[in-house]
Amino acid sequence: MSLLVLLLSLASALAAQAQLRLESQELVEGQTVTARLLVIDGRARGVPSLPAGEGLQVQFQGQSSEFSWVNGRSTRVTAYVYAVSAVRAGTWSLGPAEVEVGSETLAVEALSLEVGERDAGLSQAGVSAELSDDTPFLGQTVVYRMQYRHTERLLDARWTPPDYDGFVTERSAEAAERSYTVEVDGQTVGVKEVHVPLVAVGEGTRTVGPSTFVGVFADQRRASGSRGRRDLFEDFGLTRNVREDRAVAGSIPLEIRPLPAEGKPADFSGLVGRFGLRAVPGATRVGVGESVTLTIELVGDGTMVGLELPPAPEDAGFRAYDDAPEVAAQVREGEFMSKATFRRALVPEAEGELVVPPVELVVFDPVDEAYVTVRSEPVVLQVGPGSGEDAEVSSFSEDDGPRGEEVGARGDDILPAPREASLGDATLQGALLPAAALVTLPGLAWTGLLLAGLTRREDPWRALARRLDALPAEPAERLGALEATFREAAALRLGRPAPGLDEAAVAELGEGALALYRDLGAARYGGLDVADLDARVRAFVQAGPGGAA
Amino acid sequence: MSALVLALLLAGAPAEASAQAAYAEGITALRDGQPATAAEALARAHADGARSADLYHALGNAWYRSGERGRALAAWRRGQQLEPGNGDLAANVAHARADNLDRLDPPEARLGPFLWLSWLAPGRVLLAGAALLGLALSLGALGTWRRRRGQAAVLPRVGLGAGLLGLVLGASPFLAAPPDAVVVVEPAVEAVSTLGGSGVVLFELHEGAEVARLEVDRDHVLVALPDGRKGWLPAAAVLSTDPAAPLGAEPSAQGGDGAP
Repeated sequence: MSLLVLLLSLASALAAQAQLRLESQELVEGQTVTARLLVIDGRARGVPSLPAGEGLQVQFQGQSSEFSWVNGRSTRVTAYVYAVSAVRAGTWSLGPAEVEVGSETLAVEALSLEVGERDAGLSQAGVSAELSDDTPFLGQTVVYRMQYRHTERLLDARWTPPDYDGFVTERSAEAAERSYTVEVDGQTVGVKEVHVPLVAVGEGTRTVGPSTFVGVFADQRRASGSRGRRDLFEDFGLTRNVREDRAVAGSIPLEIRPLPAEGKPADFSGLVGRFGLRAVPGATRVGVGESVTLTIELVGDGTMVGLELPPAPEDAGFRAYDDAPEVAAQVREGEFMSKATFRRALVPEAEGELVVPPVELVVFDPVDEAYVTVRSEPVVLQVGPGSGEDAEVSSFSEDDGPRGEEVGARGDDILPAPREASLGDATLQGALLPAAALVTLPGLAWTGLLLAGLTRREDPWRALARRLDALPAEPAERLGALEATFREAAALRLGRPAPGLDEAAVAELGEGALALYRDLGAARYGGLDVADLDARVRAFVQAGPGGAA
Repeated sequence: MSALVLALLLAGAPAEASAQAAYAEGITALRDGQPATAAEALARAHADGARSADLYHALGNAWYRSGERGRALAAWRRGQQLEPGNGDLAANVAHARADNLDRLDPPEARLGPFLWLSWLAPGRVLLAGAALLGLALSLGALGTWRRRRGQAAVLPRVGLGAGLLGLVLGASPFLAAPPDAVVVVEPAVEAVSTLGGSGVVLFELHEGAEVARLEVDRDHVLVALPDGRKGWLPAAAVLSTDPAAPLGAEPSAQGGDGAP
């Protein structure tokens, strides 16, 4: 992630660059941290040499490369990784270094490292805890530091925080964790630290309770058992070849002191800590009625949650509009650092030189144990003629949103009836008659058609003629339909039922009918023209009851 | 038959014109701040056969402005039955109920599976069902006529589907049970255990209370509370929420022994 941030910040730069990054700049004797020399958009010739002070040892570990697409162009970052070990207490520098990339040589700035003396307890496995200040003032931010040391490889860890009697956890920053190793008399000691920022809220004698740290290690004794069987059971999660080491950090007695009432200014801001304040204008030239942003930054080691800037003075030649502050805080190297950024839009009201008075805050300094005033430098603006009524005041709120307020309710009443109304009978009873009409009319029509079909007898000769109009296309079926139609027509003419017809009966209708009867029978076995039979049957039917074939 | 329907429709036209005139008069009076005059005019429209949600909306407003909150509630509830989805009526009912002294849940319709009746007026549902059934019958008649001519039927599946849907829709207003309820229109009214002089007062209801009506006997109405209690109320003290009912006192209907 940090690499990505780096890439984004450097994306606009087309030339190769080099930077040195270090995990931590505060070490103890024996501690080893990782340093990364990053070469962006270039490839060093060979491994860059990283010089270090006498109290440090540097060993090249390896290198890695990463490609990214940023703003439509590819960026390559090559990281040269070094292990930096602190061997002697003191202040030492890492670098500067020179990296040869192609035909150019890139300079890498040096970093300063503080190496402290090793605590005697560091050589022993176990857990310890301390507060950065065990006599804090009310409102002061302190850091609870838990350190767990181990000589075996730590697989997993669980930490149960203590009861922070008299404190609340700082809301603007999360607890920080870091792990590193220290070489002590030839033995590698792993160190895991947890740093929790706390704000003192309760006066008097207090006790931060014990905290428990559980380290999970590989169980060497079980691991040396039946390997094959262990692997099998491990695959199914049935066994755990680990052991847990539970260590308890003792309680920490402390005294939270009240802020001194004597000398407490009326405009005390409530901040406790050491702070610095600065104000930077977005521009030094501005027109009347136009706005310029004054960025005010407050940096310190105390909590700034809920802080508000003192209002800008009235009748100072400008109007001021404040944005909500941004507060960022973190615990780094065991120390709490906080930063609040305020943006104040200034709108000058008259031409000429405008001196924006310094922003002042009264804070309590726990080191000097006194109330002090921190202030920014005054800001000077050159105010020219503005663009008149069209000038706009910049705002940090959502400018495009509606500016009006919700319409408030001042009373409640019934809603009016419509002027134009439908006044039919919308009840169920009122709908009965039209519904009945909707159903009855087509119902009656259909019933009439059905009844007409029952009462009216169709002329059988017309029915036969209609049947001939709908003969099937397939020859065999067509021939069968022709024969059936002829038999029915002949039966009608003779006044007999069709199934009882035979050759003798058809002969009574004449030679033509008999010939047609025979040809229809013979046609079943093929050889005759169906089209001819079709025409002859049609002629027979069209002749009607008294016709002659 | 069509001539009969046409005659019936034409016969209703003068009454609707009269109702429209009375309604316009009522709305004008209402907007002129004369609610009593408005109520009279709107009642005339009702007498002319108008039974619409708009009419009951206006009538309820006129009564409400006249200080007759119970009658207004009854009128708006009638309008809601004709247009269940009318938001203005719902708002007015909620507004008026806020002043009720009795905390009672009003009787609700038992719609069963016919959920469309919760936002469609029963009369319109009936007409929609009848129209679909009429379409199915028309397609059937057309099919019969065409088959006589040796031609295929027209959209037989559409006809069958329309017929079934029309049957379900048309039957649903009759199968669902609308709330048979009355609203108390007097400031306070006592519910007695039986008709005649021997009944004891069981509970008291106040203007705007809406309760289920179980029975009507001469000049009294047997009502039930949501908790199951029953009692007789004077018919003149309540107004039905049935949109087809008259606007006056409940008519004497069935006989009864007077026991709740």
